[in-house]
Amino acid sequence: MRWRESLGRLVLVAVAAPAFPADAPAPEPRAFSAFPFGGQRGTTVRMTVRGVSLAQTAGVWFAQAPLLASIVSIAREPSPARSPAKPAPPLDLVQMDVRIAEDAAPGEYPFRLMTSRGLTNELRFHVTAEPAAVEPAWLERLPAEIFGRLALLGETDSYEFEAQAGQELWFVARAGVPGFDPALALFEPAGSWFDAGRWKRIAYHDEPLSYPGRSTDARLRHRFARQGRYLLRVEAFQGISGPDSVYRLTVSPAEPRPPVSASGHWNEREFTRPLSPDWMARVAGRGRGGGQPAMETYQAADESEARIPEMKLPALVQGVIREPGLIQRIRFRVDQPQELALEIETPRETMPIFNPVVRVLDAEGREAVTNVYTKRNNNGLYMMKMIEPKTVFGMPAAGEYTLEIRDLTPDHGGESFAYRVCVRPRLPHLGKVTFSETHLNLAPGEVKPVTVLVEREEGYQDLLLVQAENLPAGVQALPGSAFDPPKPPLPNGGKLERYTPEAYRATLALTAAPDAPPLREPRRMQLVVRTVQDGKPGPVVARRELPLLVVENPVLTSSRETAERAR
Amino acid sequence: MTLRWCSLAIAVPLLGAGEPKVWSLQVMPETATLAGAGARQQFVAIARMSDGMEVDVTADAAWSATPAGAVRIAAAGLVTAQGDGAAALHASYGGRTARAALRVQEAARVREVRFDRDVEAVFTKHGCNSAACHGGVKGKGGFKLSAGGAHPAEDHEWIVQGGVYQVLTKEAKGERVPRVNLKQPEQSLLLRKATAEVTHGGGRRFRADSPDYALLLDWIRRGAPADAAAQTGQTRLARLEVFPPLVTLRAGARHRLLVTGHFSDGSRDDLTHQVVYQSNHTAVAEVSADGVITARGKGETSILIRAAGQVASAAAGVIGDPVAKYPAVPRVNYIDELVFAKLRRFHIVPSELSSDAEFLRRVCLDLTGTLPPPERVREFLASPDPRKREKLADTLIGSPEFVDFWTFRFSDVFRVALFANGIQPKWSQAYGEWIRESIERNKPYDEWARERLAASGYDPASRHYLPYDVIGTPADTMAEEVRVFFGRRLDCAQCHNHPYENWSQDQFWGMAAFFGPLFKLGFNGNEYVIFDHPRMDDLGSADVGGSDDLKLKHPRTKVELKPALLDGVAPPIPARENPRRHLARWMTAHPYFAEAIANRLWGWFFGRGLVDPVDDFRSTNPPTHPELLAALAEDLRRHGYNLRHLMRRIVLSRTYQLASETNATNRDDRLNYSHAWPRPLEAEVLLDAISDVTGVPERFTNGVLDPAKATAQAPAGTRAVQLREPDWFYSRFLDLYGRPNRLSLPERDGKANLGQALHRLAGEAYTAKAVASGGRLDRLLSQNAPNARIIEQFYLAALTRFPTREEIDSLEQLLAAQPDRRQALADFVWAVISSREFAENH
Repeated sequence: MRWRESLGRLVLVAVAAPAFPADAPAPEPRAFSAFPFGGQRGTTVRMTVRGVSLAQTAGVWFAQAPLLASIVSIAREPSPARSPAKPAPPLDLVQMDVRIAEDAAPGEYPFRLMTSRGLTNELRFHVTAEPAAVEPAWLERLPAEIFGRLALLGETDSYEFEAQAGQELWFVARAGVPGFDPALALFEPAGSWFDAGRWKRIAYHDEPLSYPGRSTDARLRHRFARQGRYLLRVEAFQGISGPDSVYRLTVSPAEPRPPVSASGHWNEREFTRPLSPDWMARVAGRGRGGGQPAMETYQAADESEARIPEMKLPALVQGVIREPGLIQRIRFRVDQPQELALEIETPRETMPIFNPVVRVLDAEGREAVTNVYTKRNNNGLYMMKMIEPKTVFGMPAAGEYTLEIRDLTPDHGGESFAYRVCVRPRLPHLGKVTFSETHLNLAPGEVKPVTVLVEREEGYQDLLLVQAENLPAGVQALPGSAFDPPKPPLPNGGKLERYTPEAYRATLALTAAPDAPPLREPRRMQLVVRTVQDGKPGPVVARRELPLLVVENPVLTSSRETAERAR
Repeated sequence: MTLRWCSLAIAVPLLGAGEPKVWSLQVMPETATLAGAGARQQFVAIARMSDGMEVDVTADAAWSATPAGAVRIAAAGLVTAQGDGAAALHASYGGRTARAALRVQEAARVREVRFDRDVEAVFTKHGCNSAACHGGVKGKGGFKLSAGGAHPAEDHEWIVQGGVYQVLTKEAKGERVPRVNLKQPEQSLLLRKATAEVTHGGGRRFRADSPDYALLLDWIRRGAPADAAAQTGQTRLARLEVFPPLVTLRAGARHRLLVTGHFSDGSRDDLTHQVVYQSNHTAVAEVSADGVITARGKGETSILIRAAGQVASAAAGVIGDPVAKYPAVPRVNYIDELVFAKLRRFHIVPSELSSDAEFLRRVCLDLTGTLPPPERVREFLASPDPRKREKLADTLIGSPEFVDFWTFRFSDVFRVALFANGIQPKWSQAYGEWIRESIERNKPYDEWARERLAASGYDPASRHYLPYDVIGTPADTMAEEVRVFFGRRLDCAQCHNHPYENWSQDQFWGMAAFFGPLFKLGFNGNEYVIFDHPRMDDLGSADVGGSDDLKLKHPRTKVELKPALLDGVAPPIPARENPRRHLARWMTAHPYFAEAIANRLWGWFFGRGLVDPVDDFRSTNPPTHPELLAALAEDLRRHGYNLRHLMRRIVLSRTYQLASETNATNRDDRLNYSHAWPRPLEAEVLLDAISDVTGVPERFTNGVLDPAKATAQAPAGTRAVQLREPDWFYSRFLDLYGRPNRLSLPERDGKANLGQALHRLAGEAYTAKAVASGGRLDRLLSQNAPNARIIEQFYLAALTRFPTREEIDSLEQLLAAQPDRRQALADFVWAVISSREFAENH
């Protein structure tokens, strides 16, 4: 298996690519979609990548993957599938064969095309354990893995299969590109009096929930009452589909594992981050450190119970809003005015199904603080509210307080409405770190900024350090400063400071010397963020790998591609 | 004064030779008590004739009273108290005599003029407090009276203290000049205006020598007192009773109405001569100022009766000549019993049973919005099964087309639309799916209603509380829920007491208060979670200055509102509970709920509701068949609000299955369901029908001007009734034919318009589909089908019937004369789908 030696490395092939018009505008190379974007291990998949500025694609770069790609052809897309609303750059189709190692682990493998104009954005190749087919009309065997595409507006793909009486199957359609939203409908050939051939819809699913940050994958579980032929239809939500609307469909007897979160980065202002007894130590590790005790875990009592249990700060409270309208309470004592942080985790069901409201009540039952952030709309001055996973506040007086936990509405509850609430002293530290770029293409003599946004949690004020590591020869990271238009303070913003961190903004100017040698392979540059403690570099709080390529041709347009877009 | 009504048996037409004879005579009321000097009671004498009619002979009867001196007969049937004691009133007519018993009490006691009862009655009688005059929202000429005298205490203040009324506040505007002059009562503006002694926009309402003038003058002379009881509302007129509630007359005949006022202290009074009468259809019947109805033309109308703060109505039917041999009409269920009984009363003979073809087309369109395909038409028409109609109804109710169609119908009523559901297509889709699932599972309608009324969190039904991305105002939201689930329009009462109804501003805002705490959690348009902000919890409001603006206040009194049901009951709602849950329970248990949905269903199957419009129940718009409406509602209640059950009941009734062809007795009948009434197909159903007949599916995109630039397209084969959001998929056809955008409660207008006429000539649905490659005509031509077969196929597909021999012959001749057969047949297809027979459900 000679080709395996090339795994994880750049693969270059000689392809007679058509010349790119010299006078044409040259957008950054960008890959919109790949189809089919996966296959079974041990097979070779003929895949086409669609995008702009791909005419001079030289190869495919897999980051440490058991995959090998060889480019078969590069062509200009003959004609747009439909009239574009505004002038668009010409589209290229890069066809390649992707060989998947027999021992490749099933999963997603990121890849980029490498062109003479630089790297493209990242796409993902899916390796399956089961045989994978491309839009078969009939699913011969279950479980099944299918790669499909709804290339036209309103197009649907239909798959027939045989199910047994009592059989339960999961159907999951995952979008292969951001912005595409697949939906699933299941039919049985019941016919109707009007049309004997009509398929009767027996189940439908768009996605579990449409909510910001939630996946738009369609997931459908169905138990078949009787043995027979059925039809699964994949469609685009509202019929919004096109040449890049690619999807992976999985049919299996058990719920397929949801894809692993792409980032895995620290984000303490999410309801789903885990609050554990050692949470304080973890938080402190992103600041000045220091030995932080493990928190004791308590159970709050139902409101109907006469005795309210007491906890000692710092503390972790856990419980379940088992039924609609249930309120749980626990007391704690503050011996002196104190700065505290209140954090909430919803480990099972989360927003917008379980919307935890946490309030701290004083001895008279008045609300001292809550995780409900309230501000006023600047047009009508009407109140706007949002629940937050973290609240930082000052407890102005010593005394006894009650922590109250419930769902926002009195109408919802259940065993999945589990929560953990942490009440602890304030610990200044660094929070979420965001990088403005996902990769960089630099021409000799060119300068490009990379901005790092670091959230300052709980009053952290120390210096922080941003470094670029593993830079190629001829490339330097210099301190830069980008103009940041001042933002006026938010009028009617309520107690914003309780619910929103401030942020550091650091800019590095990546500079390629005029004689910087072009790279034949992307360099895995590292951006590293550290605290500074007592005048010395502290622990690393964030590290991000950015593939960097020094190209020969100058890239005329901006290479800025936000992490948000790439995600 | 006390009365005791006796019941009148329903007249049975009994035909005899020659002029009808008087079979019996009756005086109504049978007993009465007159209290105080000048107390009056109007009586009527009703003769039951040998032809089954009941005739008002009050004016022609001879009236007398015994003993003399107890009462005085002032006019025909009008009796005035003279002296205390018992008396008998006699009426003689046609050789028959009837009597009523009277008791006179305190005949010497001068009756006190009461503001709420007597002064308000004068205003009402002369139209002073009507909506068009001083009873309008802003009053007239700076003088405001409550509509219909609903608020005597406020009226008294405006008269005695003066001032100019303002709509949304209790404070008077400008200088307060009293409208009564206690020192010189005759100089009171109230009297001088009413008698036109000074300029009055309303002209002269009464003369200075009239009893009403005397009454007002007397009241002013006594210091224009406000009755203590009136101030507290203790002696308010509680309701009006009308006798008879239903009058059947022949053209030219007259009938007097009696009106009794029931007061909140339990007393009663004859108000026959003190109320305002109004006929809804004067071409059918007119009514005089003292309550005598005169029949004009065949038909049915309501007579509205208004008194201080109260409204009632009587139904008047004007019938034709008796039918010599009224046929025995078979009845299938209670619907037929009640409909046919009324038809018989009105001397209307229902049409024959519809043909199989007529029934097939009608029931398919009504239950599924889909035309039957030709092979099913052949099969059904050929079937000798006597139960085939019943079996067909069951098949259709269980079909997937039924689910599609009723999802569409309820998506209209429940307003599934992009802009109506938060401007998020995910939400309108989820809301639409919730409706579809409810239809598919045949979820009990009351459960369905409760889910929508109390929806919270991220429930699909909660999305309807986010019109245009914001929480709708409590007033608008409540008015819509009441209109949808109660069939009542309370909107007017938002600003003032309803001018013609019993809805007060307080009732309106009490109901609105259930929606006062509605709140959306979230800062961005795609993350809203609906909840009811608990009154007792701050939830961070103090951070922005407190929660005072969360309180819903009465627009006039500025008092914070507490949720109160329409009946005035303020249920105890625990502080953290969803108040709408209480409202939902109450609403779905209220009689209005069942009758509103029963009426709505009836309207869908018959083209008009028993109350029409279907969501405009009011005392001034009574049902044409109150007993039937009650029976339908009861049927629905007893069967667990199973909508399919009631639909089945309706379509299996003979009433539903009557032919549209009329007879001499029912030709003009529109209100009594004596024959099927052709109804234009709804826009979506029509477009689907054209697609089915031509065999060319429609393509729906969001490209308004240029479909080529669309960014979304419904999956191939999507029918118009399956489209969720009218504001997402554009269709010129659907817009022209009346598809509503659902941004407010839809009222589909089936009227033809010029745009439709032009579209029939040039629109793609009519022109391109007929000749489209792969369409039905194209396929038949490619099979070398002869003209006769093609004609038959299109008749079956479009009109659900075989063409007559005459039609085939004429069409074949026409086609043979054309040089281009394909074009000629395309013209034929165009003619079929452009015909009224195709475009209507009949």
